[in-house]
Amino acid sequence: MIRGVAGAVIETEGLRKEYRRWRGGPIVAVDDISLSVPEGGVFGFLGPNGSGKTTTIRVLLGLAGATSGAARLLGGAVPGDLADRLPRVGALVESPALFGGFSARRNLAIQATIAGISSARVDEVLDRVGLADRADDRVKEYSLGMKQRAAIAGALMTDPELLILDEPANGLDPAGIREIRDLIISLGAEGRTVFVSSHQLAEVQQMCDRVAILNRGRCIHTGPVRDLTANIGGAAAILVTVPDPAAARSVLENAGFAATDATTRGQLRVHCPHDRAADVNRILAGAGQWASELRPDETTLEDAFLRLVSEPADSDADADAETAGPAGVAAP
Amino acid sequence: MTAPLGPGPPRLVDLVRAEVLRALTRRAVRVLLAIALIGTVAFSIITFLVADEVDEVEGRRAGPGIPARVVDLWPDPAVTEPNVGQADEDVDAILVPAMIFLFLGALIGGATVAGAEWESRSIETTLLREPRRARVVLTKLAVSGALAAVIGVGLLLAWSAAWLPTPVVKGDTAGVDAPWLRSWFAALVRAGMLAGGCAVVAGAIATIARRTVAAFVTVFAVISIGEPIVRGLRPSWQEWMILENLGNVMLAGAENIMERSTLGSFATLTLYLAAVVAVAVVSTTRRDIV
Repeated sequence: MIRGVAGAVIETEGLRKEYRRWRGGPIVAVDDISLSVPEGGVFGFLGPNGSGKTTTIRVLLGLAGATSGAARLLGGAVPGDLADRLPRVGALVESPALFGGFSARRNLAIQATIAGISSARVDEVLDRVGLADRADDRVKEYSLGMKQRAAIAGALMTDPELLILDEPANGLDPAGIREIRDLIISLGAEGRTVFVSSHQLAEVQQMCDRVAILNRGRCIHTGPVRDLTANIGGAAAILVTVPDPAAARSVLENAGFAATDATTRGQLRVHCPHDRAADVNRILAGAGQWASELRPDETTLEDAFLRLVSEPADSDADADAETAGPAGVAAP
Repeated sequence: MTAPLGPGPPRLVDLVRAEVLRALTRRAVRVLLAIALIGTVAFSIITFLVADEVDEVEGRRAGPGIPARVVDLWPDPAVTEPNVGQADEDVDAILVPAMIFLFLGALIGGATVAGAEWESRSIETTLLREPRRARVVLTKLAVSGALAAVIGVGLLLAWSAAWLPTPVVKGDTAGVDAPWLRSWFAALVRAGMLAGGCAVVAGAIATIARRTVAAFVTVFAVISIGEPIVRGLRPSWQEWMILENLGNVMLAGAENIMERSTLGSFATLTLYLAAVVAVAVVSTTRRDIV
């Protein structure tokens, strides 16, 4: 049993989930995850395929049982208190779990009936996700994006305090992704907590205040997005686009700057604080190397994520990395 | 009137309402009902066309076709023979084939209502609203059983009504008295209960296997392969066979299928049903929903 942290809507302590197999040892999908998601805002839950994100979410929602460890949802123990807590939670787990032979309206009406809420709410949530026009078509005739919207509508049905969305933008076109991003941001701004797992790191960077990163079943980083990009990104640098990078590099090195070729052709990465951009520009101009572009080299969440998941966190992770299955889950 | 938004745990009555709504709006259930009603109408027309008129002087059928007597619908020998006076002639049982089709329909309906939810994963959505899995499974099975029973009695009533024009126009109504009506109605109720049981068992097997087709395969294997083998190897075990007990309850001992009483057979079938339901509940509560 874990002690509840004040203001935390999701907590796990030493959470472990193994899947037994007929042959060979068990597959460890989640390995000793301890997590605390504060109330309010949008929390990103990131990790490569098979890192244990969906399994963690399934355990939190009572769809799968933990092998060991403990979890709390809205302060209640999982799974013991779920009957009291789940009515305050909206969730979309993996792909949309709707009955294809029914319309979205029928699927949601059944959910509304179970939850004991007015069927008028069905129209409200369908309208909110932009599915009102196709609400009476059968779900099996929907595109993946439309199914996703219908499932998100279902998650919003009870006006939940906590939304747990597993890959909500999966299958959506760019316009749909933007709509869902805006929806998630607005839900977070309304005071709800949105716990969102996603592969779309650029989206996560725009949506989330804090993130947790999973790799091979373990939580390898948790904290504010800004801290992550600042800490993992390394020393500051400026990207400079010039007609002759080799000559420009020589000029800068003679002036005492360290410069390397950037990944983009014709671009140099000058390793210095961002506030020295004017000095770099002046030196290059003085040598006849006119910069067509000069901007801070900011570490994106994607950069930080890739660096984190590509390097083992500790010696245990090394051991796990050697025995990991093809899906990225670690076998003990 | 429901509350605008409900933060509390789901109520059982709401779960029941949702399951009734879900079952009755399933296309497979509606197709089965449509087939049953079309079959009933076809039965009415065909029997009317082929039935022989009763020879009122001889009091027996005038030709080789089916006779046109109301009591042939459900010829409980104890009730009908004294009235009809045809002990030398086999009595027809027009309701029995309808009952067998009803049980098959209940099996298909029960299996598909439970199995499709697992196959579409919509069970996850249900469990995210009501995480008490035993309650969800028991409600689902109870609702499908109750619906199969009520619909079954309704369809058998329709079947009985569809038979009426033939004897009314071409035959006679001899033997239709209070005891016969009681016997006929009791048969409808027993058949309805058996249909409900079929739906529950099929739904429970589909729940255990999380596949609709598993229920069909299991029922086929038990009835068509398992029981005949046991019947052949161990004739003394006959009174534990599903089919014998089903027939005994359906016909209420009229055909002397076994020495066991109707109530005893009913209890045996109820025991089997409870065992399958218990396995379905334990299986659903213990295993992950994946």
